[in-house]
Amino acid sequence: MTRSGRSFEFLAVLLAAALFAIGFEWGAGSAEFDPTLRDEASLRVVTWNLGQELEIGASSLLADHEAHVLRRLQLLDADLVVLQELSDTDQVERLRSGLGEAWSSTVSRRSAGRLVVLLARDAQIEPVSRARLLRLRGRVALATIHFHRPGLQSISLAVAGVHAEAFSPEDRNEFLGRVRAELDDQFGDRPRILAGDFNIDLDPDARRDLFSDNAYLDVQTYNALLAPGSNRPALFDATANTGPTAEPDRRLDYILTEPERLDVLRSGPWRDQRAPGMDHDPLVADLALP
Amino acid sequence: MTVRLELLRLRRSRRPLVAIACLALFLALMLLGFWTYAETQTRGDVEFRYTFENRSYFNGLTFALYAFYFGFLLVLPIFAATEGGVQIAGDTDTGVLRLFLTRPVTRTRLFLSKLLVATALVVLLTGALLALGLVLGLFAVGWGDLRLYPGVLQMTDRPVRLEQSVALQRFLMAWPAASLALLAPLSLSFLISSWSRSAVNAVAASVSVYLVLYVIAEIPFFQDLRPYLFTSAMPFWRDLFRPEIDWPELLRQAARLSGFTLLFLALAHARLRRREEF
Repeated sequence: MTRSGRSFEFLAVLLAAALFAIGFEWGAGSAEFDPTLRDEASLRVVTWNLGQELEIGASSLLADHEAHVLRRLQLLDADLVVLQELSDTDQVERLRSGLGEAWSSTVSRRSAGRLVVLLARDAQIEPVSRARLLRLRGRVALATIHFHRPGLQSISLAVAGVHAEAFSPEDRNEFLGRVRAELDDQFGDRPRILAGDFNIDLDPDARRDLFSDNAYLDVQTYNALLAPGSNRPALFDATANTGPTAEPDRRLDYILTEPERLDVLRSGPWRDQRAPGMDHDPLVADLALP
Repeated sequence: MTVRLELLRLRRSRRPLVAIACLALFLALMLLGFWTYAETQTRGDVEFRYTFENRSYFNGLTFALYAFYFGFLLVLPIFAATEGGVQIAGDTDTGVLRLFLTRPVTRTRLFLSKLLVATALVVLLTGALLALGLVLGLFAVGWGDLRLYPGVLQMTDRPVRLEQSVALQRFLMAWPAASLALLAPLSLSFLISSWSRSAVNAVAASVSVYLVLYVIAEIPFFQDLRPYLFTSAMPFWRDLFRPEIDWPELLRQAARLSGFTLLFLALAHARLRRREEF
């Protein structure tokens, strides 16, 4: 009688070990995003909040960290870069010139001492008028970008780079809604990209009740951004399920694209690249060209 | 013989009827909550402006899914823990286990018989919660396509619309998946019960341990522990409601849960086999 019992226990433990090996993927390699993998025929989009939130308190990109950021951007070899928390146009110009003459830029209006900038390589940027930016009432850089690099010649995109309000879910709901409406209504049929720091934390694998001030409204905001417009198709979250992008384990940064016109090849945050005090990782998406 | 006897005892105890009655009450309260919530939030407005809240969203299938999700997390594990506590510690308490062991029945066979009957009850209750939710949703609200949105109970990572027929198939698939998930708290309660002589203590301890693990898994400070807590993997059946089911991930989660179940059962059996006093 005891032998059958011990056999049952032995088999159960053995089977449990095998199931744990499968369930926890022991021996599997890391699935972290590797920016060295790049399909040359793709369009690489990067968004990065360069602000300092740790150690010294809130601040825009420090001058001491510009070289660090520049080096990371060079390594990423992106086509389109959206940056938040730059302090002024001089800083924007230092980064742009550091990347090279092939790069051009456009900025948002300066709000609370900070800027959003769009940087594009081998491209002609047609920013929207100042009046339109003012009507959107927030930190947004908005432009039509015509890429003319070999392999990208035929692509013109409607691009919005944003930094939504961090402390008011109502403000970010209204602001992001206005930006989405602008993208839908004012750029014809061009493929759209909406990228930046939305300050909405909706990682489906996490629970963030301790930090979200109005998860209900943020859920509405997020879903409204993805929904079909009255005359445009839905947007797609290119970096869903790739993990957190900001301290302390929140997903605040997004790249939204049009499915089928700009399919996602690979995406994710590039970890361990922050300068000391930064609280966001760069977020990268490689998109297939139409 | 042993299984038949355990089934007879289960039926006579009326635990299944009581449990189903509790589930029916739970669903009635859920329906009331959904109805008042929809009325409050939409006020009849169906415009989709910066919001997904409209009456067509809250149809019978949405209700059934959300009711099942809440019931699965908070109600069914309690019944599973209760059953495990009663099966061993309860019989120890009343002296029935000692009586059984005087018969020529191995402890392993006794253990497996009780496990089989407890599993059957868990599967029955899971199916009952699903079926009652769907039927109540049908008659009270009406079915339709199932729409899910990211950020709401973490059911999906992108807006989803499943046709009614597809959604019903997914509900059917969710039944065995959720039942498998509930075997983990059931086997944990068997383990705790094998160490206890009081059904009340065993049930209380099982429910407490489950709730502690569940709450810890929800707190961001314990994010590194989360993968190792079986409560984190229990809602894996939600992935059945995605447009494209990620079968490898689903099976990985199921394997992880099953590993916990078998480990708890092996430990419970080892304890029962070695016990001298009943």
